[in-house]
Amino acid sequence: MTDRGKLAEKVRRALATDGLSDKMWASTSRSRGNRARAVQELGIDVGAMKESVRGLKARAMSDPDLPRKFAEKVEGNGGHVFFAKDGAEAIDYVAGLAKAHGAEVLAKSKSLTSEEIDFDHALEARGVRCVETDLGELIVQMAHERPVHLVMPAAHKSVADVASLVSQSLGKEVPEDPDAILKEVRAYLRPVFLSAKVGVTGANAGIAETGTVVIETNEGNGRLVSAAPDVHVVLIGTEKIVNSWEDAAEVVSAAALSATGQLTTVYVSAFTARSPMGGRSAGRELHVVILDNGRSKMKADGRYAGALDCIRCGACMNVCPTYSVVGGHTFGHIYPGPIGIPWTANVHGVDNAAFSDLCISCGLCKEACPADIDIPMMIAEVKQELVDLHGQPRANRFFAGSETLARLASATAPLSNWSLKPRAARLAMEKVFGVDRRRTLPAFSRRRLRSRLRGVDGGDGSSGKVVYFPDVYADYNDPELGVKAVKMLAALGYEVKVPKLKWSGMPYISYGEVRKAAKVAAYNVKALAGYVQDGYEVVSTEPTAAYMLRDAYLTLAPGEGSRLVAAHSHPFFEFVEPGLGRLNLAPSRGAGAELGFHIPCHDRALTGGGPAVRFLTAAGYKVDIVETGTCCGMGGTFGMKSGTMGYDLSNAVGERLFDLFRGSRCGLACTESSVCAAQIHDGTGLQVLHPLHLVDFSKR
Amino acid sequence: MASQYAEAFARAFESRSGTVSFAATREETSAALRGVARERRASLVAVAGIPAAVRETVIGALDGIEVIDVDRLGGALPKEAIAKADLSVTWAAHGVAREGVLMEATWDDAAKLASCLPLTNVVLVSGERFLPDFASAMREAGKMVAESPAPKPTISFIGGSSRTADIEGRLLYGVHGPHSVVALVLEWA
Ligand code: SF4
Ligand code: SF4
Repeated sequence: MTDRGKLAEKVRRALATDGLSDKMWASTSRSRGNRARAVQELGIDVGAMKESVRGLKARAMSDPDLPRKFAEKVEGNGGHVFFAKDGAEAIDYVAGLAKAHGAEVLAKSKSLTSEEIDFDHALEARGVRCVETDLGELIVQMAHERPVHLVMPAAHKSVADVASLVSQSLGKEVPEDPDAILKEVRAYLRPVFLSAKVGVTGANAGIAETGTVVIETNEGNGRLVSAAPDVHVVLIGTEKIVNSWEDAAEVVSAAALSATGQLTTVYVSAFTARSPMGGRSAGRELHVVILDNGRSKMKADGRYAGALDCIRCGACMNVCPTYSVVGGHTFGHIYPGPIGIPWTANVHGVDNAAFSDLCISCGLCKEACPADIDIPMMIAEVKQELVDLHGQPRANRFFAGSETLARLASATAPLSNWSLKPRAARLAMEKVFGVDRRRTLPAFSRRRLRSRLRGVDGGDGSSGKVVYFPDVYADYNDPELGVKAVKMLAALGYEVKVPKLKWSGMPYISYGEVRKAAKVAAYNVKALAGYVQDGYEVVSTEPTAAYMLRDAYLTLAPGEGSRLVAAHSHPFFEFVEPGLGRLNLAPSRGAGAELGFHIPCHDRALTGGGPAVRFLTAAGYKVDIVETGTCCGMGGTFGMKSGTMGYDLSNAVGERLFDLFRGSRCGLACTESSVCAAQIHDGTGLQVLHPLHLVDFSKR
Repeated sequence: MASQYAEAFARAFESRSGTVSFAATREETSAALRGVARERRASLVAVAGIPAAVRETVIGALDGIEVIDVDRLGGALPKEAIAKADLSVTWAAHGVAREGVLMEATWDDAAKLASCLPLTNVVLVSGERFLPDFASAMREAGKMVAESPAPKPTISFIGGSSRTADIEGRLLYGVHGPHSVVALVLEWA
């Protein structure tokens, strides 16, 4: 079986595993909710937090001497430092320490860096047993599994699962009652803490100015592991070292808020030297193992260096739609989730990062990340590496070229539209191109937007000048939408131009054709920058296109041109909102009708859906935002692909949203994204329209 | 009269499931400590890191209960001794208003274990030692560490009782450390 076949099989199994998706979804939803509540209630300025974390990470990364400075301080305070170039060296060092101290058991608190190097198994192979003391880690250790999530390692286990594992491991019947389980675990671990000669912790930060190690826990096991045994070993990746206590404070706060919505974890410990125990200093040792294991290579590679900014909060996992239904054993190798993709490619080899195919390019991980890491672009780079190595699967090739297809289908409409309907034709399309026959595909218009606009008033320019960027859908499928957009802009006094441009190119990112995406971006940027210099603003009705212009093009076509285009590009409703008072708006579906509104992922980072909702409300609709907090599952064209790695997975995500729509009283749905509309329609049977198709307008 | 910061701390600490009491005098402090010890049916209390000016009040309040004086345990087996205690009384260098956390500074890990091991931990903090937020507390901690001669102190921020949500997201208290943490704000010290 090919790697892709194996991944599809894993996804199939994950979706079929009783209760797995529900548990993962419940866990990630809870975390999303806690974070969102905390941000709102505490009035956290997320933008400022991101900027601060980025800044401190940039300062740390720009100093190649920082690990050495940190090490010198640790040693100056009496600690020992070992620089490990890889996992094997780190393991040798700790195994040597265990032997020297006669330690057969190591007490461990959660350390993702130790997971990275398969620490527990390697130590066990040398006769040293590692006992995980974080409850979640202990549960997965008892199950002989890996953590399913960075912060909630056992999110996939039910109370019954845990009771059964603890019963088996401790050799006594433990009831299916969380409190009873906890009591047993406390009783089991207490002697481990007290008798272990060596304790191993990870680190959330290393502070170079004083040689201090900072660890965060909620359970308090980190405090016990670092204090009770005579020898304390800290395993820290080079990327965790920051300059100052202020910087460490930022890391701690941002991680706690993003992970669980806390202002800090319950315990934050900062130790600078080995403290005596009851006045005894003899035999009390601190060893800090600073691990490289591919980090230097990552730092030198412009595509992935940003991944080193990760502060391991897990927020990217909590928002990721596909991770949330299959979990980290499928969406992960050793590092799970979105950030697990670039980390895996760099520290465990790109072939182990083939789970990158599970990324449907919704962009939500970037938005959630407190370090503002451009995870989606890194994932696209990993996909590109895999395409270069193993080629592009047929269905991906087909959808990555969807602009060419749209051009062809539009030119051959209505024949092409007819071929979208008969069962036999759809079956053939599924077989030949991998387009799922169950998916409703949008019809194509014979006349494209620019031809439809002949004779349409292009506006007098009294308010300014606009380039309308239709992208594929408003050009080839629904040019009427483009016409309405142009008419509204003209009614607001803008002179509107619809120049010949390429599509936004997002499918190239989705399918790992970054080089092609960069070419498209360069072309569009060059053309649009010229207009911007002439005083035009760029407006798009397709959220994905606006996202590309404002965000992705900055990376794909770096330079002054893309910065200029990004600064002058706007999602449609954000742009028209200030002028809406000059229009009469009326609902085309009857006043007071209830609409279920879905916010497309790419619009979350741009407007959060607010301007479109206000537009609909101003027109007289009652708008109900129907929201799971993540993607509808369509992921551009991902949900059009046949089988598990397309339609089925897309629906497994969408089901949660469909349930909410079904439970709402809305008889009509609305979204700005053409692909979200297809997903919601197929999943609920509701008619789903763009806001512009729901509102009639005229000049006041 | 509690400061604005102390009051903000109390609100934040209690929202994190901690308990806060204020004591305006030595007598109120004794009464509060006796009350907790009685309520928790404490028979063995570990006392650690209490400054000299407050120490007598604490020891006096626990009259009749067996006390482990952690600071004077010496070379015995302090961790096993502390583990037997069902209550501990420890000292925080600062309280932190916005985040509702206590900042403990210890120079001996036996003192740190005193706030880790028993099921109930009473943390005393001077009403005059409150800081506005975690960022300022970390700055203060950094200064303390940088300026302290060896051995350097270990800093622990404590935001209530030990907890986990690792079983189906249910919040459970007392997984390894204290099941309950009581902050006693001494307005006289
Ligand atoms: S872009 Fe979306 S689907 Fe892809 S990894 Fe990020 S959150 Fe998951
Ligand atoms: S990539 Fe960002 S969101 Fe994901 S774990 Fe790292 S810091 Fe958190």
